[in-house]
Amino acid sequence: MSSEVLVLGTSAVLFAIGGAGALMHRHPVALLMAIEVMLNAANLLIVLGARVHGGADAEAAALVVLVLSAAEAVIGLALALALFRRRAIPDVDDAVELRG
Amino acid sequence: MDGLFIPLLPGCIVAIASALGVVSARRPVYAAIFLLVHSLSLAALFGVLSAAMVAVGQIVIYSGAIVVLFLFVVTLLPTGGRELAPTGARLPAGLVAAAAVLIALAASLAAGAIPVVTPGDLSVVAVGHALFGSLLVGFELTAPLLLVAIIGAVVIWRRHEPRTRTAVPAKATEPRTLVMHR
Amino acid sequence: MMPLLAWAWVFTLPGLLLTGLGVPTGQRRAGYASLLGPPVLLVVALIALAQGGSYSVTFDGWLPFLPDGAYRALADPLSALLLVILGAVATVVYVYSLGYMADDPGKRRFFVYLDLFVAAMGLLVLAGNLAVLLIGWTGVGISSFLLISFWRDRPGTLGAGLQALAANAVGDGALLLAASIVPTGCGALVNLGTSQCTAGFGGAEFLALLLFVAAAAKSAQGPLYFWLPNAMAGPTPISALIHAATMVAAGVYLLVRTHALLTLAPQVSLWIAAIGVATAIGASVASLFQANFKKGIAYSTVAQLGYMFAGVGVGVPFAGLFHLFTHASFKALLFLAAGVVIHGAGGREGLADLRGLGRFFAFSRWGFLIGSLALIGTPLITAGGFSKDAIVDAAINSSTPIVGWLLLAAVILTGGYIGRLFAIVYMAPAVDPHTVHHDPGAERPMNWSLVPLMVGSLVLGWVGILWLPSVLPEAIVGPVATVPILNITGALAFVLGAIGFLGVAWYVLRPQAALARGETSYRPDGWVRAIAVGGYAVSDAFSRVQSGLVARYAFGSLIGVAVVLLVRVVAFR
Repeated sequence: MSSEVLVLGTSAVLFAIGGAGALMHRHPVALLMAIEVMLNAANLLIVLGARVHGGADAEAAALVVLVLSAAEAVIGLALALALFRRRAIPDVDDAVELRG
Repeated sequence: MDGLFIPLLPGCIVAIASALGVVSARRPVYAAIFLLVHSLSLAALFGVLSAAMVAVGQIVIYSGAIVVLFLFVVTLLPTGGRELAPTGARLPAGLVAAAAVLIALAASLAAGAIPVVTPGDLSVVAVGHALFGSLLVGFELTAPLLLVAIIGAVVIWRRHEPRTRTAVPAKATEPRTLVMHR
Repeated sequence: MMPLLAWAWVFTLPGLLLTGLGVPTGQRRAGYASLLGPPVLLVVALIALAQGGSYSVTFDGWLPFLPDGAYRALADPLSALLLVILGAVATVVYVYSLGYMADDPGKRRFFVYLDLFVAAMGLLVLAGNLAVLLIGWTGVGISSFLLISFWRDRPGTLGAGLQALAANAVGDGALLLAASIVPTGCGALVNLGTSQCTAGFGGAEFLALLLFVAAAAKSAQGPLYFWLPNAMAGPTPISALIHAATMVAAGVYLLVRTHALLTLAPQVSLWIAAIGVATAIGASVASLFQANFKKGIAYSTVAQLGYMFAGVGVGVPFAGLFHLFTHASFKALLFLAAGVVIHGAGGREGLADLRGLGRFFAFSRWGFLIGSLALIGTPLITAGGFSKDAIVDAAINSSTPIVGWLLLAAVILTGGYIGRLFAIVYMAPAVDPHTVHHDPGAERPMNWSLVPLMVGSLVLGWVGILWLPSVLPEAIVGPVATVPILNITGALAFVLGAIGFLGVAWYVLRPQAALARGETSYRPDGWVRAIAVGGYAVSDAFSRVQSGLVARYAFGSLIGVAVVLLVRVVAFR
């Protein structure tokens, strides 16, 4: 197994773990942290891609992804805190207005 | 196995273990600490993969700012971070989805071949050239993106009082100098 | 005079500053400082148009990330003509606004926004390349938003302004994309038709398509029509200035300016004609069913713009331009006349409220009548006859004569909707005469500003066929060597329009007693019911997908990703 395959496998496993966590948790902050794990997995993949193929451009893109994850964490945490207004122990299933 | 395998292996193991910790921690505080370890391990991986700039960025931006933000929110939670248990269908659904994604990714990996190349110039200077050269527009757009995120966070937090609406604006009865209409 | 005209867009800026700083103090004198700008613009543009020639201003390297980022301004007869229209209608509207906005606390702000609009529109018309055009384009979009949502206290005005911005954003995006794909060194608008400049991504067709999308967004054509009827939430003077005479004409202007490019893109030209015809017919039908006076006129504007687009699409840009020229006059006349009645009725715009009230406003009644006659294309005595004729003729004689026949048939709808409006407001017995209040101080500037427009609606047709072909560049006028003064299609168009006008007017004014009639209720049965129940069942099933639960959505996404990856692996083995 080459090191590229190891990193690829790690990235895939991390993405799967994060996805499972995103599905399981009802607490909004825990949900967000699972999403952050998925984001990091993707970033790892980009950095590997920079090494194999993309060069400095891809590495710069990985930096931009870092900034994006910061913005997303900000908004997500604001949403999570807004959910705390409804009940003491928040639940993402609370914020549903659709009747489908 | 090539030269980088042994240095990468501990990083990968710690990353996977801490990710498992993030998703399975009992309390959000533990999850946040696991997330910190996770991001630091990824920084180590980036460093080994010669992406020095991104590694430092991961430590400073991610571990140093984002995870700290998570920790702040978690420690300021009014309930001390207790959590509801997952509902009946969620646990198997999560495992099924994770398995499906893993299988699909493994199949894609097996179907393709990864070219073994010597890495190009990944130094900080080269990244700087890329950021201010070919990625300039995207780089500049991250600034308004962050601004929008800040404004959005404030807007989401504010409660909206119902605003009373008047009908047709009243006519001016005497001359005024400069009237800014509300 | 052309070198001065190239800087004409700054003419209203001193007025903007003075009015904004509050220089003629007091409610009555607010806005006087802005009154100088448009007449100066009109005079300079007229002299420049008569003298001819062209002049361009270039400053290089202004916007380095675009292929052609220079500041280019081009003053030539086409831009001079547009500036004449802008200056004339703006002068009339400014005077009118002194009366219409006399009691409004936001009068000063109104004139500041008007000055901003005229400056931006001037920059748009004088633009020599796509970058500067984009700045003017966005500028008029922003001023349009500010003016549509002028009365911030009234519900719905902000929404209408945002709708205008949304449609405008689509056009801006298309224009920005066009500015980005044009090859380097090719920026000047007049060069867009050369083969060197169409070598960019997608070739001439794609570039023409982008410009068409931008023009359609600005001129409310096709699916992007929606913002114009809702823009009637703004004060009537700006409905006349922006949404009848100038800003919505910017789309037509862009297509006329780049007509050389359109000859290289026959597919897109066909689409332009088709969408123009479809919009003309659809908007004409819509206008027949409007309950709001201004919205009825607004749909008429959309329809007439469809006529102009059809003229450009069949390859005769002069026809579209000529109709733009005359339409500015009579559509502004219709709007301003309507505004007199609306102002007298205390700001109410519903046709039910205004029924018969127009009879108390003589200037408005005559103005609306003249405007209506021009709109249906009364030959010889009104301007609209010549220009609408030109378009219908050009379309019938082009390679797609069906366009011409459809436009000709649509004239009966034109007569219908404007006859309906005229009959309801100006001919029907008044609903409640006591709700009308006359305010002589406010009405004087309003009434007298209608007069130049009335004159224009009568004579501009002669001006157009006798003088314009000699001052406009050969390339634009080209295929229309002589516009006929009167021919069979013109007479037929007028007859159809008159039939529509009189027919609908009779229908509106017929004795009301015939309407009292009981109606039985209708209950669907059998297969009709089955279809309905089946439809509900299907929609219920699909709506279960929209559960709002995050976990379900995430599950769907992840499974979907897995499926896509597996399909890719299996299919591309």
